[in-house]
Amino acid sequence: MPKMGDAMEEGTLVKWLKSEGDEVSEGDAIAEIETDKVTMELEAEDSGTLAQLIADEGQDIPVGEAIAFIQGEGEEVPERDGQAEEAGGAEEAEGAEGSGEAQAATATEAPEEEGGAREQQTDGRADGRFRASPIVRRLAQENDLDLSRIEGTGPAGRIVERDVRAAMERGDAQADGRAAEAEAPEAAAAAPQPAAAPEPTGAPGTEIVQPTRMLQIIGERMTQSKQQVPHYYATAEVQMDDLLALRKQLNEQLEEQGIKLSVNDFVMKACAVALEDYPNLNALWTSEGIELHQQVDLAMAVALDAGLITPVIRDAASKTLSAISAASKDLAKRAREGGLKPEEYQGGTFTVSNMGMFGVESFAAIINPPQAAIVAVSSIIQRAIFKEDEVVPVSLMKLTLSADHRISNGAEGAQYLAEVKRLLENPMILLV
Amino acid sequence: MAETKTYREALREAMVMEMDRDESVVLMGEDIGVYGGTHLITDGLIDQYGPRRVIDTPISELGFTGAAVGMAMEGMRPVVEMMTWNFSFLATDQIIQNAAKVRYFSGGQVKVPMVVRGPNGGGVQLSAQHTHSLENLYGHFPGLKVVSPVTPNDVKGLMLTAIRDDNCVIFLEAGALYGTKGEVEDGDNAIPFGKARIAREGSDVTLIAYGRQVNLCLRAADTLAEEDGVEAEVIDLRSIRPFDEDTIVESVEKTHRAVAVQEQWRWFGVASEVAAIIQDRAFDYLDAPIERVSGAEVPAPYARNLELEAFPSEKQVANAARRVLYMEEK
Repeated sequence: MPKMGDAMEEGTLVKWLKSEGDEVSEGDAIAEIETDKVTMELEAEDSGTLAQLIADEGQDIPVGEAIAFIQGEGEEVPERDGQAEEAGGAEEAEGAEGSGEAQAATATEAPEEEGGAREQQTDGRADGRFRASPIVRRLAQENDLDLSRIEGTGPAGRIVERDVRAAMERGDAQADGRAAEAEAPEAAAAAPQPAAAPEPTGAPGTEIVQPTRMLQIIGERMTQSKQQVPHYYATAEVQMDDLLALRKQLNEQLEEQGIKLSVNDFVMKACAVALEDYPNLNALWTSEGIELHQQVDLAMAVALDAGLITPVIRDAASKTLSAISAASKDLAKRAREGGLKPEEYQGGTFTVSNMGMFGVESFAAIINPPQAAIVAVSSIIQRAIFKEDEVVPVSLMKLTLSADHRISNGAEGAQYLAEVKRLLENPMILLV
Repeated sequence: MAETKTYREALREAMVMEMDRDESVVLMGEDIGVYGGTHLITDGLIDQYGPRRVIDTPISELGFTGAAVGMAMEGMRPVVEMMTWNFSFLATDQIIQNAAKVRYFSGGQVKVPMVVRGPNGGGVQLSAQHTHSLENLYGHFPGLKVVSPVTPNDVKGLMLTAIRDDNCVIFLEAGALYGTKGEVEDGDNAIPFGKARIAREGSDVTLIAYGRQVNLCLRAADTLAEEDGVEAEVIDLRSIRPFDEDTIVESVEKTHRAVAVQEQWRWFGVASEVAAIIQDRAFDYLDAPIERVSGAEVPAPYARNLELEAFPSEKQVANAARRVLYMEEK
């Protein structure tokens, strides 16, 4: 089973296109293979007699396992076990070249796949291509070590605990350290790994502080998101004048009831309502597939001194503006006081991040995995625009959608943003 | 308070304590009364308690063990001596078919609170028919409890628990160690079944044994510390059924290596069970395959030099530890 992309760990043999005993030439299609991304024909790597079909149709086969044996002149069909070994070995020997070709065949996917390249490689080697004791594999995983950089001193080169301990002491087995030397440079450029941070400069006027636990977690998750989730971005500019007028009017009427709607309340309501027609954006990327949610559990980013947190307004699309307003004020207040319960900041399906209060013209947010999308809300800025040859002042606000390309494509994101824009520019709709 | 006593004295003390406390406790066996017991475990007790509570039996293991089962079913608490456990083969029908199963058959209505005790294992040149370690045999049967103490303190504490237990307890004494001495707690030091003892703390490798082999492991651990700078943890299982899995698993999670030692033959033995439990529950912590050190696959030889070869040695244990540590054997 050839590697048709670096994220590929196994492929399904959909159908044999040749039968046992057929003569095949190099390049002939012999089988149809399905990966999680594509279905493609598998070409014979050599000419000869298709002496043995090892894999059955419908079977999932790990990358590197033999699926068939092509018998050249004077060759004998090996025993099953030996054969699997041999074929696996050959695949490995071809190494990066082979997978490079396969990748070219799925060119559209290539850029995002390369992101996982080195990590897959590391994991792949840990899955049995060399010997390591269970505790070694555990230590490697816990400490992010690359076992291919450690020499085993146990029987048959088994890597044993003392080898790992020694490597950890020397500090030369970190998985991220090997990027530069071993791997193709273009892959490294396409997907930089978290490089080992440089030594402190120790310059006068500097100090070292340690990241808080919260910062570490945010850092890990955001790194993971940026590296593994293929973000695309779309920005729309919304004319806010009607909304600001409506808000002013409503707030005057509601003042006695102690209700004060914020611009963000309208934005959140609009984002939630608009999702109704775009279920792919109100979704989670899960181990079993894309989980589409009917209900919008809207996460709102709240900045804290120690980091940030995203409490969730449940079923935001069905809530009135005043209910959203009350919920967001309450959640934000308690978030800052550290008084949120886990169920109040977990389980969001979509996120809105608003930095309008800081005077930013535009920004793009990092997707909060496993969610499919996030909207970044910028400040309302007065601009002069042309309206039928006349220069008029308008209040403009930029919204930037970041979405997971595995789940949704750009056209969908653009249409969604257009719907949010329509709602915000015709804000009365949000009242019904 | 504790006092230094021999294994024999500690064992006798436990039986005396229970005979004083509970008059349903009686002792039975060949030559245990007038003669004082072949191993002098019951020496003097017939004078103290009389022939109705210290009963000399005919040479008929099946007969007197069966009688004890019946007495236990009727509410007495017989403690039956096998002159050596090798003779228990004659009594296995009563032990396995009745003592282990009556409580089950009767839906819990009839209990069989009896102890079968005696010296187990080899090491004293008694040759093939008189040299067996039977913990795996009896440990195999649900309905029996099986213990195998090695220290004087444990033999007392476990005997107290055995006599008080409402089930048939197979009490395997380290026959070769009756004369060894150790600190024994005064009074009631009953030790629960199913709780292993950490005989020596260590961080690098876990040696697991029970009975006489615990001492072997302790000596091997000293050698490893002196010669190799290796700190071995030694676990004394004490109880074969019920079995203390947690203590072993916790130790291996710490040391990442294990050697299971038993005097009995390798196949289908307690050490195999230990290895299975470790790989089942601590697989991700292992740095090396679990080693087993066992007796040689032959009937026990009589000649001293051959007998020594046939049983696990300190050197074998130390070398097994070195293998799991990926060190050179010596």
